[in-house]
Amino acid sequence: MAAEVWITDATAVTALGRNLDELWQQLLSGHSAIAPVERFSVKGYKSRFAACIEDLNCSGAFSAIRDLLGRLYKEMGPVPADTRLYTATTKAGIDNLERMRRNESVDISDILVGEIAKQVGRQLGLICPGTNISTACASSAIAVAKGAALIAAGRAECVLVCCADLVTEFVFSGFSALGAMSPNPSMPFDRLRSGLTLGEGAASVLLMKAERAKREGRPHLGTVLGWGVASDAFHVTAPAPDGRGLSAAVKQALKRAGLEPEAISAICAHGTGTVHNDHMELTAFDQLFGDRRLPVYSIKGAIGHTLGAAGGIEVALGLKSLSEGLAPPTLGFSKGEDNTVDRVSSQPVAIPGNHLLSTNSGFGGINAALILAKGRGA
Amino acid sequence: MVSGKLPSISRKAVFETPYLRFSRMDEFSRLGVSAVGLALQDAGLDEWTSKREVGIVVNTVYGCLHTDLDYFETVTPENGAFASPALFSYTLPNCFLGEAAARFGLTGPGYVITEQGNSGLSSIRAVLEDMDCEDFESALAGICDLGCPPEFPIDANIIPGAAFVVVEKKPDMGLKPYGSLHLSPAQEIFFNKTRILDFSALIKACVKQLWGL
Repeated sequence: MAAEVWITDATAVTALGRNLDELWQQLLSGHSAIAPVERFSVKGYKSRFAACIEDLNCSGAFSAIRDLLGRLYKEMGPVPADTRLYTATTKAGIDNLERMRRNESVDISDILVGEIAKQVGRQLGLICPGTNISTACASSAIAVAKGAALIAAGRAECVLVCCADLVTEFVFSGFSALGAMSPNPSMPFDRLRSGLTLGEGAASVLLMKAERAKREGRPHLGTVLGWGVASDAFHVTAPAPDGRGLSAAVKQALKRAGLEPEAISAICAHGTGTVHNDHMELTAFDQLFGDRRLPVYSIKGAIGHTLGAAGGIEVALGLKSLSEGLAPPTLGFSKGEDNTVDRVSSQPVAIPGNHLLSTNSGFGGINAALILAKGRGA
Repeated sequence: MVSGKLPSISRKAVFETPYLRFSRMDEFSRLGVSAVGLALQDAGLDEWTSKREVGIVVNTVYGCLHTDLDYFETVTPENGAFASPALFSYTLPNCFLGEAAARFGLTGPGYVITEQGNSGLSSIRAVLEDMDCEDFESALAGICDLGCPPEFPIDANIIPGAAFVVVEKKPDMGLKPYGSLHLSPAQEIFFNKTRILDFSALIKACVKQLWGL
């Protein structure tokens, strides 16, 4: 029998808050962290907006990702030394590659994704060396899925997922060149949506076998009930329009959770604000949930698209959402297509149940789905 | 294993049928997709009619760092006005997994892992764990690296190249496996009951099986 997987600690650092509580309050108040970029010149790009953490240290020899992770450590509770570590990042300290190319003296090791796992493991005094998972914008969701799978199968008792990504000129210029950026702050699921807005952030999620968590008196913030990962096998940068990969991932998650689609109370969607992603997601949700109208939200209109950190931040926030019984507003959304009616809202909406589906998709045609259940609290 | 120079990879050397996207890929992706293709050919699984729930897990140290450096060269002039979308599309190390998934109809999970140490076995370990966790029953596990870029000051002594093995939990009767893999509780990997210390040792052990050495 599979072991129950509890989440006993969850934190997030974003441009909209130094911690999870601040982020939650800011979101419910309808605030957005998306603002004109001052970190680098955006003169040649198709957007001038991103959600940057204002006072992040972007100078000196180290990548700004070290400062970001440093802020995360301060918010985290104690992590057992025998915890297995998965870090998740798409581009780690790629800001140092930019600066290396500009002949600045920087610590080049920060550019390598494997270095992040090493740094986090060392900082937290973990016995086992960490592993980084890089799977585009589904990186941290897949890390949570892997962690939950290990605990459920009895291969680990504690798994920490630590994820982080930065707003850098490297990434900003790339999405601009691809034409995937919205010239204005992103509008997830809106019929006038025209692209994504980048954001930066980090999150940590501590997964623990329920028996051990009870023994150690850890809080029960939520349970990872199900998970699924599937590839579109369609295109590297474009999602499959019929949402086949996402549907497959959600079906796997439901099967593992032992739930029917009717049991899902709300969906934290990837909701990037690009025409193709949001269409693909709504198509998949139509297939999975039929005419049923359940709350669907995206937080990327408020904190931007945090790439590899998105899934982790959304899990952390999803736990808050379940405990408060509220789906946060989808900022930037005003009026969508027919299949957004009674689903997506620019206002907070009550969640009529205890099960949240959280989904992420990314370059390479990868899709991940997680099903979270409400916890019993402290 | 002694490191040689990685030859340039032509489509025709690996794929018999036209593959338009191949020439558009970055070098890292061409290397990875070629190795995936060769592994599937070797297993007799390269031809398909309907998509298959097969995963791909790859271990890499430098990932697409060469492409990152090439891409940023296009950003620097004119404030990014000429940044290359074609190169940017390959600045994620998992992009070649998407290419391989589309080419070979593989719909299972695909992810890139990087961990400390140079054994290259973390992808095998991950696949065996995933199978134990019932996440999938069939997958490719491999290594892929172009080596350290010439101007990059951290050389982790990674041999350039790529190799994949096909791992099946319940092999089809038509397949002829090289042997069986086992993951011990201490995370050690055994191939045909012999402990394997790195990826090249696994390949050598497979070749030994093939030639009956």
